[in-house]
Amino acid sequence: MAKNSSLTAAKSAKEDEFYTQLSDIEKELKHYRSHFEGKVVYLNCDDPRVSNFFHYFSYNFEKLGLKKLIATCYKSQDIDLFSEHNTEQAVYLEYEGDKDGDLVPGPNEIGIKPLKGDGDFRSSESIELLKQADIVVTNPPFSLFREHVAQLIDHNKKFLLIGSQNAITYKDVFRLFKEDKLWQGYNSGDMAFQVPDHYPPRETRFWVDESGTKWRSLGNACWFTNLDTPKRHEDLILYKSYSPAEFPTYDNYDAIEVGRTEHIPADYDGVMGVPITFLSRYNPDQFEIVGSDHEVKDGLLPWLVREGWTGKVDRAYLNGKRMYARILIRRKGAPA
Amino acid sequence: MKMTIQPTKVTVRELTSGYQDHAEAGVVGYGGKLDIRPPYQREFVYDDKQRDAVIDTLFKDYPLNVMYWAVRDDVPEGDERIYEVMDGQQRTISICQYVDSVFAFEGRYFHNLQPDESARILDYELTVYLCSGPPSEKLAWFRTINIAGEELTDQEMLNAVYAGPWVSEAKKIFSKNGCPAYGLGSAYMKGSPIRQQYLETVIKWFNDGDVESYMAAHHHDPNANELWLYFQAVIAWVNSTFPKYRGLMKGLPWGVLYNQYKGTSWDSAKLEARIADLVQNDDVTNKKGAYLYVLSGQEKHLNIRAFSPAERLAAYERQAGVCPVCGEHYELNEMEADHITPWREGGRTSAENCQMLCVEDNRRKGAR
Repeated sequence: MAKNSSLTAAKSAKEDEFYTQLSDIEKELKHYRSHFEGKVVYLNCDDPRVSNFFHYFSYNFEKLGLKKLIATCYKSQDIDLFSEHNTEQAVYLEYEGDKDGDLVPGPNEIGIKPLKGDGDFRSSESIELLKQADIVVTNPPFSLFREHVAQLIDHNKKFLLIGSQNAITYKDVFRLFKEDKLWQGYNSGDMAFQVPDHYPPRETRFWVDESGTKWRSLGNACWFTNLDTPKRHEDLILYKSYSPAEFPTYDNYDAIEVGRTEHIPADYDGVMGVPITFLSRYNPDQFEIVGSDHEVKDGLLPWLVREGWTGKVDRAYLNGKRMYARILIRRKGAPA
Repeated sequence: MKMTIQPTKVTVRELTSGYQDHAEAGVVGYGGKLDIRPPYQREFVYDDKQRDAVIDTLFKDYPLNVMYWAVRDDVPEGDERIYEVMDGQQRTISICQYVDSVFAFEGRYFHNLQPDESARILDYELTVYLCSGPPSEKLAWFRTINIAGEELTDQEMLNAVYAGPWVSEAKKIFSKNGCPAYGLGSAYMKGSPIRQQYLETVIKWFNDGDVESYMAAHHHDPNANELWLYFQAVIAWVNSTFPKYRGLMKGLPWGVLYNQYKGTSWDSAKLEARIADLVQNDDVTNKKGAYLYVLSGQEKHLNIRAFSPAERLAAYERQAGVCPVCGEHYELNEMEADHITPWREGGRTSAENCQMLCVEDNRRKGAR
């Protein structure tokens, strides 16, 4: 079989094809049911032959009240992955609900249409399908996460994506957090994914189950979405009071160090540096995101650098010690 | 009012009608009348296998174990929840979530089942024991059934029996993962907030060990501020009295110490110096006890090392079996070892500081 695109190469080289378990999809999706009524859902980085996303949405089509389900099926690769379904041709699937009354999606009810290209989400064919869609739900290749999010924002689509928490520190992704155009969903942390058979074993976070299926896991997986949830309007309960001894001011930033999200003092009006895991509990009604250490480094927040400071600003420093990545926040409604 | 226990049959159809999961704010079912999980209760803990086993049982029409519901004795106006799940919460949530199509069993969601299959599930009958009566009697009963059922801690049972706004507010502070009480006190507390060990400990401190009567007295309070303020005061007192933290401090009865010694003004620098000394002293076999000892002065907390048989025998031979107080001769087994310079005055547990006294004189010395 011919090698067909740079994406194939990228996918093989990066080993970022991770298949999400049905139960992980269920645990997250149960919180968004009300968003799907009458909507067209598009799975644009999918392989419906193995994807649990396709399973979830096709089997729940009536329950969610979907209008249409579309999934592009990326052109099969030259490697022996799920070989019985191997095909030279990339296709896309359309499903519009149960027609024969057996209450489950059947082969005759799923329309399979050929694609000219390879089904890459960036191809013009895929973009035409994206335009029809209301909500995109998928687990994009991690190496293309940034690009994938950018596309969805450009096309003004709703989405629900699995990524790594590291993506928060990407400049473009962080800006979306700050502008309230994207936030974290419900579940984060450990997540196990099925991986293609040809992926080599690894020392850690890798195992083969009794049926010979290979698995990998991420310790910092999380969902990213722009669908509103009650969770992001829950106030974090604050119980600490500010004291200069407990919350020292950084050497270089005009902000205090708060090492743990739950220790945010209830009564501090200025800027506070918090770990990036803060975002899993971020409520925009309670706090405002001022920026990040990245942005200070890039000169976007000159007013946050302490007067007279001439040293490094790439990260926050405390008594000469370089801190972990910090997000800079302020209590909403605090006097400026 | 006498307690009654009434067996009844509830179909899955009835159980799951009106099922709503409000996450943190609780879960209801049985037409809104059943409080399946009160606010801030332990989160759903079944894993996928356990959950699937419950559904498998329904499909096969095998019997599930009996469940227990409490009939609430004081339902506030406008609150429809007249029953509360005491035993069977995980099974109930599994069933309700399945019928609500939250998860698939063997690939299919509930609404994908053929009509005869779904009817069979909905017609499945659960055996439920309804228990009504005063909280104290319910509690006694729950403690008994809990031996057989799913393991609830005593505090979990108390929370169920005294459910109400006070319990909800207290759980918000003391019983969630990452709750404020954990954030404030985890360096000093043992146990898990979610299994209610924080709440139980703090009530015990506050009310001299009597959790139940405290909860009965505060059953209808609108919030748990009293307990929260108390806990904050305890932790603040510990911080200011013992500013230097040691791992030894985790799990000490801080509330009990606070209650007894908060009125005394302590010199924290002196306390620290004494503790530093005690934890390095080989005679002290219970290092944690150093904190209790510096406050109470009671040596029993330190579990001071006893004289060894060789040290005792050496002293006995040196004295030729004569008690230095009364001057009489005794056999070795009629005498007891004593610190010549008392331990609290710096005398060590060593051969040079050992003397043998007759039992009577040793008791008399100890009583001085």
